[in-house]
Amino acid sequence: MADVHKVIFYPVSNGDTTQIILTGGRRILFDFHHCPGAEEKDKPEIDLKAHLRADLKDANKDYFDVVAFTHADLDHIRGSTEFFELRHAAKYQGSGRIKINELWVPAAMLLEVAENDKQSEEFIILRQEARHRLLEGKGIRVFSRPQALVDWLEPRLKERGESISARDHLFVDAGTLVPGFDLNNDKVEFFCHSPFIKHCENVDIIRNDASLVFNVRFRANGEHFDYLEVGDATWETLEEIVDTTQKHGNEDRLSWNLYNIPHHCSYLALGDEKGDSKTEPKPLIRDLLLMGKSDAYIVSCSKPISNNVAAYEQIQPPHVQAKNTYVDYLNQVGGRKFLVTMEEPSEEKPAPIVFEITWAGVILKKLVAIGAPAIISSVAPRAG
Amino acid sequence: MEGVWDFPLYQQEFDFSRLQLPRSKQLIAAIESNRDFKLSAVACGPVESNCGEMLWVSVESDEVPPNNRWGILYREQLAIYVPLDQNKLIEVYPLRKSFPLTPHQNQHGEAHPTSLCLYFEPTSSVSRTWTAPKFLHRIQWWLTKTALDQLHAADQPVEQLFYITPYELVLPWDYEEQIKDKSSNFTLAYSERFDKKATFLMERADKNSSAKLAGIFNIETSPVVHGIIEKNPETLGGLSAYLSRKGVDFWGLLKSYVEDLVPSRGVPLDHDSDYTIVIIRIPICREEGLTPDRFEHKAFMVLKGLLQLGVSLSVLCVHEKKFYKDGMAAKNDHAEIYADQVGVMDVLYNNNIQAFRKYSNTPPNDPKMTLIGVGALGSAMLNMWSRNGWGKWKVIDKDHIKPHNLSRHTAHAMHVGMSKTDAVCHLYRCVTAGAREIEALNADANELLCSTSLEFMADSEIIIDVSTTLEIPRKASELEKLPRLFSVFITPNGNSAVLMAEDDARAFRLRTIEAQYYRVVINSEWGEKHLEGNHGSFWSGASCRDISSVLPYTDVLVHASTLADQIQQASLSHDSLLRIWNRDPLTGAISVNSIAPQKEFMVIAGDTKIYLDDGVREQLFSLRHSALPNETGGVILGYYDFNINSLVIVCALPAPEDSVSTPTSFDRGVEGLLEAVNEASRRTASIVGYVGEWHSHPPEHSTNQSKHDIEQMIYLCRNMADEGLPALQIIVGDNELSLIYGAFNYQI
Repeated sequence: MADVHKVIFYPVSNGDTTQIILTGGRRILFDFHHCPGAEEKDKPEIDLKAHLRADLKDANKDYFDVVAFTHADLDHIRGSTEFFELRHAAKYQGSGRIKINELWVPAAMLLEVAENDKQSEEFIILRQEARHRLLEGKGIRVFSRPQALVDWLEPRLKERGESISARDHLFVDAGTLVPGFDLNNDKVEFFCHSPFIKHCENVDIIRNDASLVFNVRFRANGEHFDYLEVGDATWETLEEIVDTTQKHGNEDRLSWNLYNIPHHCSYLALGDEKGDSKTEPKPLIRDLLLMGKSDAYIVSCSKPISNNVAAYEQIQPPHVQAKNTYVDYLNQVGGRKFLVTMEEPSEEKPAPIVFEITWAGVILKKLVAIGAPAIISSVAPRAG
Repeated sequence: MEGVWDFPLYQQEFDFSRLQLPRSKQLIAAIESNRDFKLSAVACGPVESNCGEMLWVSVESDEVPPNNRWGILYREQLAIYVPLDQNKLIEVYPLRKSFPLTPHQNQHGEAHPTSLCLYFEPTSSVSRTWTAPKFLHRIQWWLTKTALDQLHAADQPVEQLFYITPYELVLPWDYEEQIKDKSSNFTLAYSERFDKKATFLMERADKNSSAKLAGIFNIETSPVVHGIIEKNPETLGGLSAYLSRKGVDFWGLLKSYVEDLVPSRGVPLDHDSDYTIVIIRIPICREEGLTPDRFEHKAFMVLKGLLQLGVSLSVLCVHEKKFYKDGMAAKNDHAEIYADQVGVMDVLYNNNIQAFRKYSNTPPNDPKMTLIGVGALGSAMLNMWSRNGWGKWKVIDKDHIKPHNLSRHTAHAMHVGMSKTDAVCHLYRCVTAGAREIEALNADANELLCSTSLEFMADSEIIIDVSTTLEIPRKASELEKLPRLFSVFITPNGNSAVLMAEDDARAFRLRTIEAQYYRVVINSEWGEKHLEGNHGSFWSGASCRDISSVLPYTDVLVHASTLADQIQQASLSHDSLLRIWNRDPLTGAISVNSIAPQKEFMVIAGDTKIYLDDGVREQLFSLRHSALPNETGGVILGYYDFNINSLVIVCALPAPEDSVSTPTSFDRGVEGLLEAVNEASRRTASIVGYVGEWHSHPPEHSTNQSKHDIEQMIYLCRNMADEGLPALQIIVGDNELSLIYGAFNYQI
């Protein structure tokens, strides 16, 4: 039987949501960004809640095997506490909410603090959920183990009459594989690049620095393909990752057939100077970009990237200078396309980007109907 | 840089607006709005030529897998040629010289690039719906599907490129078997058509035939695991090089083959063939080292006779208008024939039985069958079965073809005077060319049954009676040794068809299904006209013996199609079956009546076997029940067949309106009775008629005859005796029936 994995990127504006569907059917969702007003038909952003719900219904499921929040910024968690069933309070349960069998979060997410008037923010609700699951000892993996979290956890374990090492197995350190998935059975493994403990040591944790970064390695009938899944990491964090990985002799974990570039194509993931036409990447970032394999794809989870004067002066990502750099390096390694989630197949009506991974390589599926079938399968503009 | 094809007649230009042809302009517009295509250059055709225009593009196909086995790339450079003539298809040439040879490419000679074979349909169908954007998608579709190995047309040999050739060669279905016999001779029949294209039909010849040489030279290459796609050679030298790569010494084999064709007495010049066809047989194995499981064939045509080739190769010489072996000639170089042109031929195969079945999606079973009767209906069905490869057939018929038969029989004028069995066997073989055999017996099937000479049909799994007689199904029902029987016929007016099928275990015989058929005809609205047009002789309409009968062949074929299909379906079921199809002659609408046959009972009364079925019993109990507490009764309808000493009861009629019923008596009236009996007889072509009386007894009373019943029986016997028939009385009780049957004996 031919192994077929899928990686799906959803058009959720400057935000992230991707899903991996493994050949055996297990589903891993990275981040969740339901754009406000996406339920309206004339919005280009996808109605993520409705889409994922329908997708799961087709698969006869009411859960994801894993939901990973790379970090707690709004564009990675928005709407999640209304969509998922949360175990820590009854008000987040039932009425068709989607279950999370295992929650993956960076340690920083358990250490979030907020003013009294911000206690109902989604990042606090998710913090509560992660803390609850950790204390219960079920359905969670926490990435990195900073002292602050240990200090929070130990007294509570003692209170429960449990040993202080009773939750050790739920922590995953950078530079190791995430337990629960392996190449033989699941045809996939997740190698954790980040966060490191040092990202969480300061009093003010910077979410982007402490976000999840994985090398996802797929196996399809004996062939291997690498997907670099990066949260909103900056060039400094990425250079640290490259440096550490090289020092440990794990260079192969830096290569990519598919690269989900950080932070909606921000130049800050390449270097500190935006540049006029291109962003000059820092040396180790250049190394990382050259680790792309032939026929590789790059995906920017962002708004469309224009190529006009205004675009070059734009402050918020996506940055066209960054895109130009990515495209340059993609061409150098013999890659295929630089894709933008809000541009495929068209800016007017973007649709999920679906990659299929088989022994023969990574291909971009052209699922979108064109011409008459496209008209029939969507709501036509109102006629007067 | 990697080699790319160039087109010397076309000068690349970068002002895209220079192109003038409407389709070129449409393509440029479509490429501009397609993100996967990029236009790099264009060219107008050479001035004062009839050439079209050219576009150079690159295309990206995201669904082409990087590691596809053919080596098709994500980004390919293509030349798109737009012919001047709007009716000609646009051609697409991959520009890389290293572009893989895959299935579905057209070859245009060794020195030219191949083109993508984008459509399966003929040009006119493609141009009817052609648009430039769809054409671009089609190119991506071709690249992707080819890369994924999903581009398959039926029976396209994996080794072949498409090559537009005027010649096709049709090999016998069992060519590989025949070739094993080294003494096999073949003939070639040749048909040329209006457009100068021709078909060579290869057939096995009589071994002793002294006909002109067929000019066929067979070569077998060493086995291969997968066919490799190669360009076709265009000269004899190229053919030799092509074969040499497959481990074959073409010149050596040809020389010794040609030498062997010429005995020492020589061969007259005009016995040489006009051309030579070289057939290359390539054994294909599933895995390295295994025995080949099939062959692929390629054929090339050389416009020189075989013996003439021998002369060119210096192994033969010509002397006094004869070819002789040339023992003296120096075996010198024969370079002069290297340049002789060879033409590729399309190789086709006559259908083998699997092919016949595949093309028709024939049902999975393939039973041994005997067909009794090959008249209009039988021959039409057999013709259909010869084409779908269903059934291993034997046919029996005693008649021969007369001129008037041609209006609704499959026979041709050449068959007049032949037995019908010989005629249909000839036609069957004309279709199957021996891929399936057929056996025939020119005899009277009824006589065979009566004398129990059943050897011919003994090994059949099913016998189909298409005799249009009553005798055969009724007689066959009596015989235990026979296999399952089906009977089919068309009604005299040509509007209906009937299928009766016994079950596998023969618990339901044709004789009882026949009686139940009459019951439906009598009781159904459609039965009123079902058998009309009979001339008092049953279902003779489908029989060609009656020279005066009128039945259009169209009607025969409508029903033959239904029946041939339904017989196949019935053979897949183990159950008995009765189906009647009625066709509205005005609109052609056909409706079906499907009746589940009922179980049959038999009572032996002296020499006579009386048959009735569950349906009759149910009817009698039901009529009695609805009349309670009074008695009721009526007449019994049925028929006698003294050939098989049987009385078959078809149904009962209810009490006429003027009957007098009390809880202890019943006087059957007459109102409408004669009409009802006559109508039943009319509807059944005079088969069914009055055979006796029935009445009911009150609850908890026996079905023994009362005094009145005995008096009635005597009355019945007396009157039936006038027709020489016995009398029948049926008494219906709570749960039982009594049958009283007998002849009045004046002596008592």
